[in-house]
Amino acid sequence: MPTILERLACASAELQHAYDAAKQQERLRLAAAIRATQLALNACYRLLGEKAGAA
Amino acid sequence: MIDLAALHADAISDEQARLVLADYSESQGQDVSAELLRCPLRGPAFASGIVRDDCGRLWRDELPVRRKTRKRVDKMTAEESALMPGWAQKWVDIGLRTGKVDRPLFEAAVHAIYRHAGVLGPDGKPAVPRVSWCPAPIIASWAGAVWGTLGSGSVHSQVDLQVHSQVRSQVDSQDLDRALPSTWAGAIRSSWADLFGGQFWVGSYYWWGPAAYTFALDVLRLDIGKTSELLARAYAATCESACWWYPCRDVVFVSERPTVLERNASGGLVVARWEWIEDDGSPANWEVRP
Repeated sequence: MPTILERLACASAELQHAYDAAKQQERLRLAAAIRATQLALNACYRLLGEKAGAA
Repeated sequence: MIDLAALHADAISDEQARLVLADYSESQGQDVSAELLRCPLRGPAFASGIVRDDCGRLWRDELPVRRKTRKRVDKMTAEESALMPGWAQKWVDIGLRTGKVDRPLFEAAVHAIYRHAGVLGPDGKPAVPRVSWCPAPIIASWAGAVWGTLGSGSVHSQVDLQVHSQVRSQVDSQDLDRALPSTWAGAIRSSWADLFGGQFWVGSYYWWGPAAYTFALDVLRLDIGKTSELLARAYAATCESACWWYPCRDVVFVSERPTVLERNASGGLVVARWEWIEDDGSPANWEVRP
């Protein structure tokens, strides 16, 4: 069973593929939305990492 | 001889400096400051605004001195009415601000709101929120929605946001659903709007938004009771200092201000754009067009 941190990292990697594909197809609004989602997940990842480090 | 200015500057990022400053504050009888500086979660945020009166008041639950306050106002004088246009313009200018947010003021304000609103953390104790700065509102709202699925739900109880069609069209994208685990995609779809508008909500409804109620407090000298005034002033400070923010139990995700706000000749929005530099140095942006 993957941890939440692993799931966040995995989803972020998946989004990177989706982002690259959207950019290649010049679907720029979609690419921007995917990137925003990826940054949102990264923010959660960073916070969870900090909480784990502090615990 | 202690170099207080250097200590204040160092205390923002240096825990040892904060502890030294805490001891010094205690020796000066400033017990609240000492306690805040010693707190691992609140210390850095408190230190970042320690030399500012507006931030200090929010942290210490102090109100500005007002004389001859009134319990009710039935009628405004001509002089008071004459002050309204200038007051409104001040808040319009705040709503249209671009560029840097005021991080020390926002962090002081949001900690005060959590305190006065009695928000409890996931452990059932009074919440001390971390503040996570995001480069654009869409990132703050989606991070908040995902964070809510990780055991720390939104504490936004009175969501009243008009759904922005452009954001909705992005949320509804099937491509996103395929890329994200269903729990998170669902959370984004259902709760991305549990946020506050910050600078974009200065007006709001009749006598509700900070533009109006600060007029009632500061010009009409209305007395609404200390607790309500502390909360009202803290909320107004969030609107003055930053853009949209998403409150979870233990984290607040907050957006930077737009870099560009372009309006047409009649004042209507042409584009609001947030620009930032990614970790790899490449430029990025997100924009809203009506």
